Amino acid sequence: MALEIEVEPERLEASMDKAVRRLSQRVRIPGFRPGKAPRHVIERTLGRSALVQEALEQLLPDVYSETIAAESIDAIGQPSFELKSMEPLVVAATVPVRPTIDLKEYTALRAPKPEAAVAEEQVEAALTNLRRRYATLDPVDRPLQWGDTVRADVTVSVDGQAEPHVEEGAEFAVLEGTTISLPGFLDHLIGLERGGPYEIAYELSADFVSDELAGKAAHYTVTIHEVKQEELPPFDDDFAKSLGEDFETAAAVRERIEQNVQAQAEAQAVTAYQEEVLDLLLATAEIDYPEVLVDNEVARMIDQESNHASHTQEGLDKWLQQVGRTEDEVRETLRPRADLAVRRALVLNELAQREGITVGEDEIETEVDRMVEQWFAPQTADQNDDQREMIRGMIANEESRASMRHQLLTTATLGRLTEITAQDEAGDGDAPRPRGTRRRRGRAVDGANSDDAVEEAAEAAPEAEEKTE
Amino acid sequence: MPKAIHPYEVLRRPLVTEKSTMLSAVGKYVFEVALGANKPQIATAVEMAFNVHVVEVNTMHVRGKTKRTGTSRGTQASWKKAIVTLQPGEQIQVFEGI
Repeated sequence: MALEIEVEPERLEASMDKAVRRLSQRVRIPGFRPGKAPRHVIERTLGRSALVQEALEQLLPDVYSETIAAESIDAIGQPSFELKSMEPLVVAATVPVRPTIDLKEYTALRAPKPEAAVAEEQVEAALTNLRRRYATLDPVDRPLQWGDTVRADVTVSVDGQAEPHVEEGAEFAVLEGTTISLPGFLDHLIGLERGGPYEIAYELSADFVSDELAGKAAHYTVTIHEVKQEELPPFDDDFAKSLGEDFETAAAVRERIEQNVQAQAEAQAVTAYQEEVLDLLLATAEIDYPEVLVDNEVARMIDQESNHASHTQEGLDKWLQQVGRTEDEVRETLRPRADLAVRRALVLNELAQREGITVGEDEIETEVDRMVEQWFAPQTADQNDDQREMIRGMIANEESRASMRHQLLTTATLGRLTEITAQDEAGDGDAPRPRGTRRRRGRAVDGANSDDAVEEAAEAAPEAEEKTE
Repeated sequence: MPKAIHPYEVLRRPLVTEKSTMLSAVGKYVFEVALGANKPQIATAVEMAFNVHVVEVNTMHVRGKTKRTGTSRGTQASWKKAIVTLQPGEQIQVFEGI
């Protein structure tokens, strides 16, 4: 928002007098002790413009805040000033103002709520994942196939690289769609039998992430010691019992998996629906907001992506060099995302206000309790109260409380929004699963006999162990 | 008989200091003048230069101080100071051109 502020000459004069007094303390003028030189002497020595500048430095913020107060402008950032004219003194101030958000008839927004559908294959895939966890690897005497695990000595060199990279007795799974060593290597392994050494040479694709290697020829020498086939345990009651939970039959395991997959699909559906509805709200709402908000968001994102390297100019430069882009480029690419984030936040905020959604202290308290419990979940509940208190103290500091409040508020608001939009449509508004509160997944441990194993198995494909150069 | 000095050569520069600023409030102006200049010459010069009326001229020699830097020593130039009193109400914009 642009303001034009005119300052009365008397006011400028008074301010200049003060400026002179301040300046004279600092300036040494021959023949005068510091602070003793009269105004006209200082004016002659320093020049009138220097005086005016000094005066304005003090005057502008005052005048500005007066104007802001008088016109009841809701400023949310620092103003920038521009001198329009000296006689009389007119200043143009540009100031970011609080965004205005018109949500329009948001109560009339409707969107069908999608049903979370679980396909049979998803359950099957989850089951397979679970079984794979308990799979045994049996050595076989046949050409290598996808899905096998292989133990081999690998020597790799790329054109232009001085030292070949040697790995002996490396054991890795040959899974389709994963990358071991360099892209394309696994494809060349398929069909090879135990023995060797095999010589493999091929060209890396030109769009390989590393410029140094793109388009270069890679040479492999591979000696395969063992080809091992993954033997999945049969899915029966014995397997169910071996899981260590109180499963008695395979059917019970299947049921649990189905539940998990269903719950996950529902959570996903809710999240997707929330996003869809939010976008709908965004499309209807009229938002007017200053660019500085987006700038701030962009800065925050850069900060996040660079792991806070951007706190210092030095760190920022280093990071930019790593990603190989200029700051402007990075800003430009982040801008659309930042813009969307800002608009979403604004709309949600406004909605929360309109709907009177607040998060009380007690709700935060509950959340803290929940998190403390979660902390102890793996080690059962026989922890003493001292430790509990300690963890509590760690979790419940001001900062995380604020972020919890924010999180809860967002969840509640999104929940309200989906309630509104889902009215008169199929199913009236299940309580949405809070976002970002899912249990943290630990790294998979071999032979982990717990409910976690079942849950995790339900979650998408297993992460392939990556062996990198 | 004093040496003749052209009026334009008499006044060297106005002396702007804290003290001289205070004096100017009561109509007295301080100048550095040519060493050989006498009071009448100074009065004439001031009247010519600033178009005012001089009531009184006080003069004094300011002796150059001995200054040392390390082992080398030197003397600052001696000069003549003149305090010129104007007719009441008259002013000089002494600081012009500094």
